[in-house]
Amino acid sequence: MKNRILHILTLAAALLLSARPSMAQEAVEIPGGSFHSILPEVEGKPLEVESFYMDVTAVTNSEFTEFLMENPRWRRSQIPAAFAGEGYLRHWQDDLTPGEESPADAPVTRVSWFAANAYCGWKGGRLPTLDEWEYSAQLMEFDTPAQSNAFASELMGWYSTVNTDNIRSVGSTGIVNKYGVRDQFGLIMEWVEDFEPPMGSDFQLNCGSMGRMQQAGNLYSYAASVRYMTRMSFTPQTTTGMIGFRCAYDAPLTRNLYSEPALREVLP
Amino acid sequence: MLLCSFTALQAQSLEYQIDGMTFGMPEARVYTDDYDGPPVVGDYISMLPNLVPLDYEGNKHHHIRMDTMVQEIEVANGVRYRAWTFGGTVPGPVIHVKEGDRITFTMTNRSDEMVTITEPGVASSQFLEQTAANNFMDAQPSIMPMPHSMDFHSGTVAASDKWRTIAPGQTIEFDFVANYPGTYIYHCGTPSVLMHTAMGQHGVMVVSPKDGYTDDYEVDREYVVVQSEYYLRPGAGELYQYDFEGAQNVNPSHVVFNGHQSILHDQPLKANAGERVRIHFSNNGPSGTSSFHIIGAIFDRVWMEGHPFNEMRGMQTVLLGASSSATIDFIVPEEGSYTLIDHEFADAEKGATGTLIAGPRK
Ligand SMILES: [Cu+2]
Repeated sequence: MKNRILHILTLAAALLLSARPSMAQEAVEIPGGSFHSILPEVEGKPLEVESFYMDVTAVTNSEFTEFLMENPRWRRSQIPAAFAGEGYLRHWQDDLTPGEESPADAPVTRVSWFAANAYCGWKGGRLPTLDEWEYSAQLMEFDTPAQSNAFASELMGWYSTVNTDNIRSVGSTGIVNKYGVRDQFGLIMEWVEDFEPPMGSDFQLNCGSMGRMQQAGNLYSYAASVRYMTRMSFTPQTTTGMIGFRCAYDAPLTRNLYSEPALREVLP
Repeated sequence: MLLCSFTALQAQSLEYQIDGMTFGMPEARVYTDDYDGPPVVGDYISMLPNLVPLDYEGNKHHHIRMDTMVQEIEVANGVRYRAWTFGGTVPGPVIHVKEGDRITFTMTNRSDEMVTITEPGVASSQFLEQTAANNFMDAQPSIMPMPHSMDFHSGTVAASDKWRTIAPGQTIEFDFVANYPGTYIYHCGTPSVLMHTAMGQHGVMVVSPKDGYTDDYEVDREYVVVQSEYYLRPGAGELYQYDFEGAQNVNPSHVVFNGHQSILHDQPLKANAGERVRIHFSNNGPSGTSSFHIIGAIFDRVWMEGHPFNEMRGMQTVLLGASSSATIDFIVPEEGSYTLIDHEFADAEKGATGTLIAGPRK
């Protein structure tokens, strides 16, 4: 039922897009591969991910403003309640002006899944899948397990101190995966296409799940668990001060991202 | 605007009784609205160490609201962090009900909202009047959007329904009956439950037995003391932050009574020589044990978990695991000052002490 409603709303949302984006932002190819998700998996069968492209940074306030200029029905004053909660862009000064505490090059936050999804469609892409996003996120290079654990420990500290009043510019974390994708940690949390992964009926969002999520056997998976839990609590209308997004694109690219942005209308 | 969550769960609306206790509560409701009223609402809700006396005969149906939100608080001299709270303090408010009372509980996840606890709402709760008058932790509202949930140990329900996690902006509402008397922790049950409780999401509900603890005497004073650990380390700025490794290794930075290293010294419990004092003591953890003792006193009677059937006498120390409690009566022997202490001295030296000041015998 839930999925069907989501599907209908997504279709409806796709009808509401308009006009062309200025220039697709920089994306990089993430070669396919496999990884161990923190969710229960068939033993000896890591998750396979095909090659795809993903934005180097999260979508910024200025990029999202462009989208809103071209797609008026996604503006705060016009978006239907079915597509975003009350908090949608509530920290902005008005429909097209990010708030004073929202620099142009900081990631846009307080956007619903629908808005993020529409934006990526307008860009000619889509939201990354949960597996794509997490696969990219663990493509970090650490020399030793100790380094990886120290990094994960910092991350847990970050999850306890997120300051939504002071979200810094994209690229400012210095955290980058080995293909150049930046800030998957330390800045915001990000929407993915399937933010509520299908779970076994015996696998629930409770205090027993944490221990069962330690599949990779390191602290890194612990930090990942926090992301899974947070995403699983969301509805597609959720808009909080720490959630933004970036886009992904299928590989091989059938067009040049930099000169041929998609021409699609995206309406809520 | 009222958007119901799509989450489908089996309905559990067939109420039934066993041994005079009531089970089978209706399904919890999760919804979104634009509530912006006081974050703590209810008639028998107070700030530690106070307990609002129950002034009614028989049983009562309580309607209680306790929202979850972020407050920057002080937990020791010079140590501030942005706590995840129920009601705005750590530990959260003390809720007092009677064995057999029904509770309709409402909680909005306001972690993405600035909520102040220093301006009492109109007729909202004694708790908010007390925090406004005595903002000991110097609480300042803050925002850190996170999913949260509520797990009352005093409730006997399906956790998969009532203790569900809700996103920022969502509200959960459910009923339960306080079937068993005792002092029960409540806490956030959202993973990482270690992180959520260590960040401050815990408190106690005191369920007083319908026939009292003993007919032998009346107590002169009644207090609530909660022990808990903090796992903090200096952060990037002036604030402290969660120490993940400290929490994993059960190496707390602070072990405290009533949420602050010095609150029970700066604002000691009061009594007079010759009085009987009752303390509802809960060890909220999240991970440590407590060996509670009062220097110079012997516990005359102790009811483990606060249940009147679990009576012990003449105890020097009460050992409590994480999320265990005891209701403790003792006689204050002489005028003077008495130290409340976790006799696990590593904990005591991290802050788990307090003071009771006794005046002359009256
Ligand atoms: Cu929580």
